[in-house]
Amino acid sequence: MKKLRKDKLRFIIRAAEKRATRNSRKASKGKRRSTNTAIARSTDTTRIIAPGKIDIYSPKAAVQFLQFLNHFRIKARYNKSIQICFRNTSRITAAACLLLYAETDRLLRHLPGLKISCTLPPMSPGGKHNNQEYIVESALKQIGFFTLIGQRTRQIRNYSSVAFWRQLSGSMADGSLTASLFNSLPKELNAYARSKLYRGTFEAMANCVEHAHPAPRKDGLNIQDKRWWMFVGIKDDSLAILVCDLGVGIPNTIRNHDKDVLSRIASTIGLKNDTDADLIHASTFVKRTRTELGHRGKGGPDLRSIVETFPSALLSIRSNMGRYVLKGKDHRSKAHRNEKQNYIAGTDKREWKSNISESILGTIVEWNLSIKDMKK
Amino acid sequence: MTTINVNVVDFSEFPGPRYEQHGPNSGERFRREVLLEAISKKPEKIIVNLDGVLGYGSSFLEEAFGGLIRDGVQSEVALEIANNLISEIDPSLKIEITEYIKEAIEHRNKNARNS
Repeated sequence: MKKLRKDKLRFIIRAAEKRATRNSRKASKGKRRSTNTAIARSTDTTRIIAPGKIDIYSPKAAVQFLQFLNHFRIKARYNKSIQICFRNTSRITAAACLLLYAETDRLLRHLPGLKISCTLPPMSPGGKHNNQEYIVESALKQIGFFTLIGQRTRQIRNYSSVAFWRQLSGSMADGSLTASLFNSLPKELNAYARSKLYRGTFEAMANCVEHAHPAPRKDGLNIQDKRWWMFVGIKDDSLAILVCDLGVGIPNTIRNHDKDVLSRIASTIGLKNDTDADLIHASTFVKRTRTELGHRGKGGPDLRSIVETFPSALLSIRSNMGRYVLKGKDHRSKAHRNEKQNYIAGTDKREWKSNISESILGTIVEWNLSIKDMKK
Repeated sequence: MTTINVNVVDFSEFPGPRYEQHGPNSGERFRREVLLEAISKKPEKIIVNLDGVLGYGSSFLEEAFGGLIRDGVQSEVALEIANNLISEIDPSLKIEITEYIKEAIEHRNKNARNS
């Protein structure tokens, strides 16, 4: 053995420490790999890293977020304890936030003994002056994510951008459940505006209950959860309402049950393909639904009616891999730069559709409205 | 002259889905418990006031009013109810309900011709 020299001792100890750390990391990596492939549910806590952006508005971020959700479901299937690490997450948007909440809620309800915890997201630039803020943590707290997973929260500032984020869920098409959300809307909204909002959101909710679950969701978990999740968010003059379900998705419902109606609609609106986005577009014209009874359905046009009533409104329907958008003539939003080629002909760029490579395995209907517009 | 006044808000402030199996305060229940009950009394006029509720999904309206035809109510009676509707907050509901009734009549006539 080499004789230790006193003057080099400090460096030798440091090198040994580094070696030990490296070995320990290598060993734990191997261990994690082996738990991934286990068939029985492991009781060890497994960690998954949430993406930098919890977002499905940008196609690129959507793919990353949906891959994360897929990974989350697989981990939940084979492990009893999961820790979601939000260390990289600096951005969160309403639709993805609701989807994360719904997925977590579903897994916790149907996988016995599953425990989910999380590490807190870091500060990220936000607000008018791009100050460092705990915006992601605040958003998750506001919609009740920490309460859902049973994790204690700390006192943090209530940021204005997420201060009016509310969510609720249910398994029945029960209008009274929406009362608390509608009561949180500005009092100046007139009864006509409220009735139009109720119509759209209620029909979206009823569609979830009636049509979203003819078969198990294609995620391999064999869970039947017929709930819907609703979100209302107010920021300054903007109101966002979202309704989400984790069912088979609109394209599958349409593909399986509405062939005659679909071919008639396809020829009317000039539909050439049958991608998910095309079928979502067609569904907004469907008055008849899977029961093949003439008087059923009628919900599709209700979803469009909010935009037809309020010129500043925008309707966005995401289902499985497709997305269809209809905007009012005064709405400023444009298709994402990757979606421009998909404007629907003859709509004066007011309607567009797109597909991404990952599926949300469900449906999210979203309206964005100007509160000022609804006070008129 | 006997007139029956029906306020939907007395039934519920939150009109529900088409069928009771999908949620409370459904169009199916409103038709059976309120409209058919009123029709069975054979009044000269039924006035349904649609105002005062949070709003209506179209499936509630179709099942409540179009369902009258499927339940065997005479076309004239159903169309008269539509004609006497009160809807000051959203006048378009009156036209919409009339359309549902006419569609149901057309459907019934078509089935009668085919059988």
